[in-house]
Amino acid sequence: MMDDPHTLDRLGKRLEEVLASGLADEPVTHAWQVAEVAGILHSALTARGLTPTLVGGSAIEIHAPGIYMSGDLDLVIEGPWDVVAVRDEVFQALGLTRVGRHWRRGDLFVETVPGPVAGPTEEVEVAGATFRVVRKEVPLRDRLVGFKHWRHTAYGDQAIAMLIAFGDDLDMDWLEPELRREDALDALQALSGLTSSDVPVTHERLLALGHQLNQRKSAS
Amino acid sequence: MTGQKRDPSQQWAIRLERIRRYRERSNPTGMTRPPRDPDEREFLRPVRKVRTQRRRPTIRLNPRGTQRPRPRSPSQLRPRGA
Repeated sequence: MMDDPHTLDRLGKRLEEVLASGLADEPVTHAWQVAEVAGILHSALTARGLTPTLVGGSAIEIHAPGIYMSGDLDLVIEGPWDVVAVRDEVFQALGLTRVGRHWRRGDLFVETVPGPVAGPTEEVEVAGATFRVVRKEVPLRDRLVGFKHWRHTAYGDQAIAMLIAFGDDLDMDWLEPELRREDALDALQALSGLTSSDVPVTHERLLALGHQLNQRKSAS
Repeated sequence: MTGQKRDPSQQWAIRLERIRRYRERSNPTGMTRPPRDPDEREFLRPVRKVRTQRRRPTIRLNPRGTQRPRPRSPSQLRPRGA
């Protein structure tokens, strides 16, 4: 295990460079920055024996920028020993400071989410930055479940955008049983119907669709 | 489903184009999402402290109006000299 203060120093300087001009408003540039930051955090934390995984909205950005631009990086950090103490030490060495439930440096907000990671992960490499991220089916499942059971119409909209963006490149052998278990397979079917049509997708349409899905649920 | 390193950015161009086409017919106005969505950054807004009057602790009084004596510990209950 590498535990070199110079490594953290170097990574802290790299983080400063990435954030020097702030986080971009343009989705692709923002996704590059998210990848760079995720790579820096991955290097710093794995050097101390921890395994960080990018989850949530930032994971969506890594798989398909332009659907959702996350305000923070959600990380699940796992490790064999005192994760919190080591994480705090590493984040502080990288120049991040604690603000409520987030860690902040300039425009960057990082939140560590309690584990374990709820789904399969993969190690990716984006522009030289290596890091671990949940596979694209995981945030898609979460958005479909959130749309059906919490009736968040923005989640329905993001799920449609993901279904369109990913097309046939989805691991249905994993996704279908997950959605069946969460009682949200019908949400996938209903929203898939909107991917191939030309009908406008609005809050009202998604709200009505969510209502229909839940009426069926209570009738059965 | 874990294993080799992949570069998702190789798919970005084609996915962005598909999303762009979808955005032409989607209208996010009024769409709902969880309130804790971090990009709202609610947590950074200063919270105004509301002064509340602290309740004074209730002192139980015995019928004569004086403070009730503290219960004695078992060692105090033991007969003297025992």
